[in-house]
Amino acid sequence: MKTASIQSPPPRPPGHQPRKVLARLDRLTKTYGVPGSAVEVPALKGISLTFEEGEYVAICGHSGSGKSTLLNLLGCLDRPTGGRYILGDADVSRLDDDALSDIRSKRLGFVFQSFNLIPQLTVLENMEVPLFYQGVPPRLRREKAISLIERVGLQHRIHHRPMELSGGQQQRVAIARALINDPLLILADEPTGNLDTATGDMILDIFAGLHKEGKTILMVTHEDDVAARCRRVITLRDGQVISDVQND
Amino acid sequence: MLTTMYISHAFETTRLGLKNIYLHKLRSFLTALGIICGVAAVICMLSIGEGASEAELALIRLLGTNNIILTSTKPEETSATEVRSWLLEYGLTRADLQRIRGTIPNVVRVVPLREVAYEAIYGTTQFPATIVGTEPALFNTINLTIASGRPLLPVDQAQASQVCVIGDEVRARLFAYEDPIGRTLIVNAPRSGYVPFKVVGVLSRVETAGTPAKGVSERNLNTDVFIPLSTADHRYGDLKFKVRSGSREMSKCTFSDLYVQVDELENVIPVSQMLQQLLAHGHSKKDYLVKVPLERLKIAEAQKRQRQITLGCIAGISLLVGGIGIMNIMLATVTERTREIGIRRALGAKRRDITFQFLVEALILSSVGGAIGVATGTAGAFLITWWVEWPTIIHAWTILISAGLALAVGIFFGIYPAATAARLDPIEALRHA
Repeated sequence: MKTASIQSPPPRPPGHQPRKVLARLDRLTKTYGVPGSAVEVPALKGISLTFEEGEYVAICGHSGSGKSTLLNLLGCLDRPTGGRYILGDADVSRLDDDALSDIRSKRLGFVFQSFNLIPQLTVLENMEVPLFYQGVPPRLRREKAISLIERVGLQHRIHHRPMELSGGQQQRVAIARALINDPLLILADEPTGNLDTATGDMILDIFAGLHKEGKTILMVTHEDDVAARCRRVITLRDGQVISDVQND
Repeated sequence: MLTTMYISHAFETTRLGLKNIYLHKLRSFLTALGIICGVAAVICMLSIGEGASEAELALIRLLGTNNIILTSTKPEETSATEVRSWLLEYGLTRADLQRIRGTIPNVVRVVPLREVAYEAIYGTTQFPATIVGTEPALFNTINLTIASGRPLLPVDQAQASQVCVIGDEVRARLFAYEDPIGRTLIVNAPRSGYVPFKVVGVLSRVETAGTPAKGVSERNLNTDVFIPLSTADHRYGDLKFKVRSGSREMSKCTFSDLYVQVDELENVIPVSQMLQQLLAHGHSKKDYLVKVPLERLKIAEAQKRQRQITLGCIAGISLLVGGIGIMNIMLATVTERTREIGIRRALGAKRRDITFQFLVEALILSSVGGAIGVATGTAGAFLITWWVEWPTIIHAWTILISAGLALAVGIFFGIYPAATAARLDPIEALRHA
């Protein structure tokens, strides 16, 4: 693993074709105020990164390094204190809550460590949630959900509730859910953290498959062997990027 | 297009709400129970208030709001000389009748009534009916309907015929197993003895929401036997004898009642004041009463309104308690489902989507509770009538008001928890255990 200088683009392999830029972070900062005092805690101290179409990126770092904050910003769950975040062709760093919700439902797919399926909904209903908030008609949602559940191999479980599935199966449903809106970015937050190694490997295989199809995946992890399977590894420490390398 | 999208969205949110409520059947039922009790209480209370008032109002309407009723009363015996006088003379006189007919404007007609006897006999059965001499016009003055036969006619009055029209109670007691029309009953009075009268008509039962018709004139029309006034004049005169535990009592009371019918409703009060003044001049003692059904109607309506408000408030409080119950449970639900809220927000739900979702759940609870409450309250009102024998009346507006109140309570107490849910920070909510 090589260490690259901060904020310089990672070295390209020879013959690299410039691809479409999906997301650009420009000196992004995030500062948390401590309630009831004037003390401010900087979580991100000016992050500039560019993500191209089809990249498979791991964001690493110890706890407190700012990787969760970065993922929240990338996922439009939070707004930066300073800097700009361009997603697709729109600057989303200053959008209001409703517009951010819209972006989340149309352009982003989330995969969480703890799966985060809604317990009272069936597998299919869980997958349809992002489309529901886009206002997609029920029949279209159902068709799309069924076509995606086949890809993660759970078509025999479509009417089950999350509690009736194993962790690996739940995460596969969550991945299918993240794919249902054809997102620009798939954001995964420690997707193997709650799974045993074998199941984790299976989930990573699915991600690898998605990467081959050309999906763009950003994955937060603190496990080196998980990061090793990604094409590009960004390491954060104390709110700054300390390394950004391409795996070969 | 957009509207259909919203409708489908609302429909699915409702389905989701129903599902969530169904998943927590017991809790949802207990939550709705507050609303059920509240709505049932509102309906029961209002129906009791309505029923109690209706009995009185119906009687007043029967007596006619255009009428003024003058009634003779025995004066209080003040001086010692009067106690010894062998003939008690009191009440409304022919002179009063003449003066009213001659001087008071806006009076359509004055119908005199005179009680002449207190016992009717048929075969071996006797019944303490009140035998009343009156003019045929009575039947048009108060809203009496004839169940069978005919009313008294001017020809009866002109010929002083020995015919009578009987009240429903008299029919039931004396003619339980036969048609009274054409039969002859005997009227017994101390001095005149047994006088036969042919029954020509029977009045419909005067019934007002369960209670016998006793009201403004304190006259129970069901136990009356009406005969022509001219017949009463010929047969009995003005003097009245009563034999009471061995002693004879004799009194002279020309008319027990005068029914004064006024042409227009707005003239009723002025005419009643004129009558007061007119009678005050002719009578040294206060041996008459002026009763105005219209005034009683107004008082009764005011009382009814007051009663409705009181009962409504009491019931409203229980509805309020139900609403607080909903708010309590919804707040607990929001806490319990914080993570779900976070997931939904991350997957693209706007704040208003979350607000809507929880508001819909509160509304489902309150409207289902309201519907069950309407059913329970209606059943409760019937039970009250059946068991305690209180008259109850359920109007359509009672149901509309109570159901509307339930919805209003649902919205009012649902908004705060829903807003709380929508205000949650998605990141915090996702982290929630």
